[in-house]
Amino acid sequence: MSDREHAQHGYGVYGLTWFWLLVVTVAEIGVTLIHMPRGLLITSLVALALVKAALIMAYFMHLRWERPVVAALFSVPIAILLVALFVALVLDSQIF
Amino acid sequence: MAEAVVERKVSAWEGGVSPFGMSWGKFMMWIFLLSDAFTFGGLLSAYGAARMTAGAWPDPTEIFNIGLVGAMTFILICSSATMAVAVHAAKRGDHPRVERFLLLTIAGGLTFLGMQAYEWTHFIGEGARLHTNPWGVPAFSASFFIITGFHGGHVTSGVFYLMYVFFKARAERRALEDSQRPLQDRHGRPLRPGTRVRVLALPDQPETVVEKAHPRIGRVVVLLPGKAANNAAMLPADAVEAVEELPAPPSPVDPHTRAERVENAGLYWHFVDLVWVFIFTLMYLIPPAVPVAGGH
Repeated sequence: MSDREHAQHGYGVYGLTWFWLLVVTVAEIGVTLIHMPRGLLITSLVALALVKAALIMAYFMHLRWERPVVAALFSVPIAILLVALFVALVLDSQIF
Repeated sequence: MAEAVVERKVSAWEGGVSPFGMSWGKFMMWIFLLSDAFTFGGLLSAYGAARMTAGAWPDPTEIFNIGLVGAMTFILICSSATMAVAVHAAKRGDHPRVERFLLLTIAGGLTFLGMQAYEWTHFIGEGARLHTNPWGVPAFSASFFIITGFHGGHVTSGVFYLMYVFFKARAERRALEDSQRPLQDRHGRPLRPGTRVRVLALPDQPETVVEKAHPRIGRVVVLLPGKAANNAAMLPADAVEAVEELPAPPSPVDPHTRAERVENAGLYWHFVDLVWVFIFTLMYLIPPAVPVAGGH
């Protein structure tokens, strides 16, 4: 069903996605060049990376036109893994 | 086209041939990508933890050429966009465009790999090895080689995967064209594999059968019964005459399978781009809290 719905749109949406991915990439390099507090810099870089990831998944990987459960199937386990593994590894290293 | 696919009104959770409302092939690609994401997630988490606990860490923005890495990112984003166009064209049935954009995507992948090879060569030339490097933090070069190497391996596999999809797409388009516009004898009768024909130059020969038809070069392969063994001969189409017409065979290509092969390859390729987004940010752009002084 969703396939047919979105076969209606043209190729423009991919050009637009491409454009915004490039804009965000330039922004990423840009924020490393201006001097800002490291915490703020890391937060902005990770936020920009998440924007790019969301653009790729939503438009290039078509998750916007799939059932929402498919997006959840993919994103939720990875989010849990990344947070849990990172926390476990950092706590285990006893730097605190 | 894809309308041939049976659509039953069932819950997306019911599974059957289309769990989550997608075909099993696409679903399995998602499951594979999920497992692959776990692998990269594990590697990047370990890298992050290693960096946070190492104390001092070399500044990647000084060691790597961020302009070059930015260009690699640009190339990969472009190849992802061309891949998205190929997938969309496949769904619309615009097959020449599918092939063109698959080739562009492959070219992007190869360019990325070339640039990565250059970057690795440069880094190794500066003295970086898997276990040691001139900056004195072994985990720095180890994580770099392992993570970008694993990603580069994915790009390499992806290039082969896309080449397979390209050649398959081209072969299917040709098979379809051949079945729609078959080879004809001089009376305009179709010559297909299995068609019984008479060879005009050999009026005494018994009738024979077309083994293969090559509409692209206008030739047929027929068997010429000889004394000892059968001899196959390739003849121009107008050298034979059909004595019996075969009904048109069913289409050699299932449109849904055809579009989905491109779509699944697209999911893989976009995933490789997705992973690079995080590698680019985490391994190249984030400066260390305590940079290693000096270097080499």
